[in-house]
Amino acid sequence: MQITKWLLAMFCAAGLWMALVPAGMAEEYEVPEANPYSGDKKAIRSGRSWYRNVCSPCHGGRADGQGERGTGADLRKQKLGYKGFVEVVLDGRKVQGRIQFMPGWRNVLSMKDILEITAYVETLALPEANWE
Amino acid sequence: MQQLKLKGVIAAMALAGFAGLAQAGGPVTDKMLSMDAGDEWLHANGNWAGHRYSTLNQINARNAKKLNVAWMKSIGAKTDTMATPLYHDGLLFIPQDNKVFALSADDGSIVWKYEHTLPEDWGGYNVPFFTGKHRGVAISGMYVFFLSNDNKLHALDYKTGKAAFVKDYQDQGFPYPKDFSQAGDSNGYVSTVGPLAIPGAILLPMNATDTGGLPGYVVAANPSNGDVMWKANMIPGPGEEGYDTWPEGSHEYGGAGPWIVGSYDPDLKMYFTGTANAYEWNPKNRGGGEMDNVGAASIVAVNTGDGSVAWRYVGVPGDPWDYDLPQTPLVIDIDGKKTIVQPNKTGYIHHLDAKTGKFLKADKFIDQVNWIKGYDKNGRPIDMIPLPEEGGDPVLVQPGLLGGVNMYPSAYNPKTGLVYLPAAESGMMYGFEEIKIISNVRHFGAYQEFEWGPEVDKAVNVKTGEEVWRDTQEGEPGYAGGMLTTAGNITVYTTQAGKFTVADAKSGKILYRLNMGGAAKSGPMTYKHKGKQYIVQALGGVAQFGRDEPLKNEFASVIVAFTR
Repeated sequence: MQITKWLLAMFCAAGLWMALVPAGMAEEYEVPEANPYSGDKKAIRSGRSWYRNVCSPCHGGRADGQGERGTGADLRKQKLGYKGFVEVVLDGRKVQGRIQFMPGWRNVLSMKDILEITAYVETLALPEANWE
Repeated sequence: MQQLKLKGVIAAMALAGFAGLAQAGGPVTDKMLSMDAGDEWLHANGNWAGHRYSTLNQINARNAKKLNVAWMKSIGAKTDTMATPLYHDGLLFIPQDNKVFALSADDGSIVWKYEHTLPEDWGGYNVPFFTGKHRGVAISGMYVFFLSNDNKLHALDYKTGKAAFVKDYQDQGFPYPKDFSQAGDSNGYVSTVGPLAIPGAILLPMNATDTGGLPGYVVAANPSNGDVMWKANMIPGPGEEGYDTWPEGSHEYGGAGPWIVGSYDPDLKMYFTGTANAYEWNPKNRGGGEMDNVGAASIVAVNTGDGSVAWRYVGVPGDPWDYDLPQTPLVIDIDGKKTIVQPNKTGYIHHLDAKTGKFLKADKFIDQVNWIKGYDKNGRPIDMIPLPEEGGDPVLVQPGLLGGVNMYPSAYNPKTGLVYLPAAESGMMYGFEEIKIISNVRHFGAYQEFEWGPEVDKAVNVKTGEEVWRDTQEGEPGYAGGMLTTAGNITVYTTQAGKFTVADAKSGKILYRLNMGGAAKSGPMTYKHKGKQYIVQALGGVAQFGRDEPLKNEFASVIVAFTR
């Protein structure tokens, strides 16, 4: 009896959690120490497909910041390091005094998608970029 | 004595009448809306026909070199300023960042400001790019009509800025787009375009093309309360000609939104608009480029009596290149025939019979065009280049997707018979990808890399299609903000690099040029105030879609008035 009540309580709590938290929220967004997809050809191909749909409108097909949808950063020269880059993709970045901004992709794309995009952008790096 | 008194009364009446003509206060009437721009500028593009031509000639080709700056004013824009201001009764009206400003025509000072706040869950695909941009307001009766980004029509008393009503069209099938992380369905309409005032209606273009592809409409709103009088669908519905040029189900996300102020002909009582690309950019869900997708990348004529579509002409059948034809169709009388003349992204100026939509001709107006060899006598492209493979290498396409001309408005001068184009030589490397979907929003499934060429501002003989003059901005890619031309034989434009330019309308000789140091993304306008002609240019924006370097400019926001 006790166990049944406990199970019921757990079931209700889980239901409440599912109802209150939007899909994807439960997903883990911890940034790994190193990108497990770095240099992985299949993952890079998948990241490129995401990049070309989601990122290129602002950052351009070449990732040079020349998008037809605005002034993205030149990602070939990004200097935030691997972790800093992923954090900006997750949480976005606003520009003081301007309306256009980099939106955050946490709870929109999966961590795997983001890491694959990251692995693709890394392949476009110019010498001055920082991916450490 | 009696006679003297009478003479005095007549003189006073004459003076009052003259003052009334020179300074038309009070409500804007249908008669006023029907005229070419003169003392007043009452439509974003000057008149219903979209000519951006003014009958004023106080500033002219003989004296333009003596222009001076009369005043300057910042409206604190935080994104591109794309609207041409209106002028009525001593006030200039300009929308920016979901606000509307009324500026004094004397000195640019702000007389009133109206501010609208977007919903908290505002967001979605490409939405930050569109937010805050507006291509004009309309004026009719006592109200300035403003369409905010979230598709609400605001009727503002032109003297006070107080809203008489704010009409929301969400329950009419026009939701706004929502933040991906907060919505199961983020699709929605974003209004960046200006309304057009015609007798008895305010025409509202509704566009959702590049925010997920919901289909485009033109809505007629009742000027007294904003109620919907009719909705005209750009994509043909069941039973309409062209419905079967889309695979079953693809109409629903086919795009084809009107996104630039259209034009109107009071005799035919038709509204003419260009439409956006078909959606998604990758055409695999809508016939793979083999089906025409009529209504997208098209010019559409709407009967304004009942909202029925009179005709649709598709300029880029099956549009695989994001070559929408959104530009304002100019209505021009050519050899007694009312003709729709539309310079557009394709690199061609299309001529159609205004009444029937019959294709007449297409004149090439830029040097670099490789996507087709021309148009046949039926208005269909000849020998289009093959489409790239999905996931394969991108292909070179000229012009690029920003086009031979883009959103920046052209002008027509009936005295010279020339059309003035803010054109550019451009190209792109263009490829297809699988189409990703987030929160029910279908993404482009395509991408591109710019191949920049110079801005080329030019004049073309509308009858013959021959280029008469050009002003090439060597090393400076982009487009002028738009063109203005007047009865004083001048054509006025500001280059993307910020060079305010007055050229001889006939010869193209540059009469006056001032580097204003910031990008122009709107066309100039002119008005007469207290007996003096002014030319106004609103500056503001990010040069070149994110390419500041060659122009050596940063973001600017200022409105500048010139006079002599």
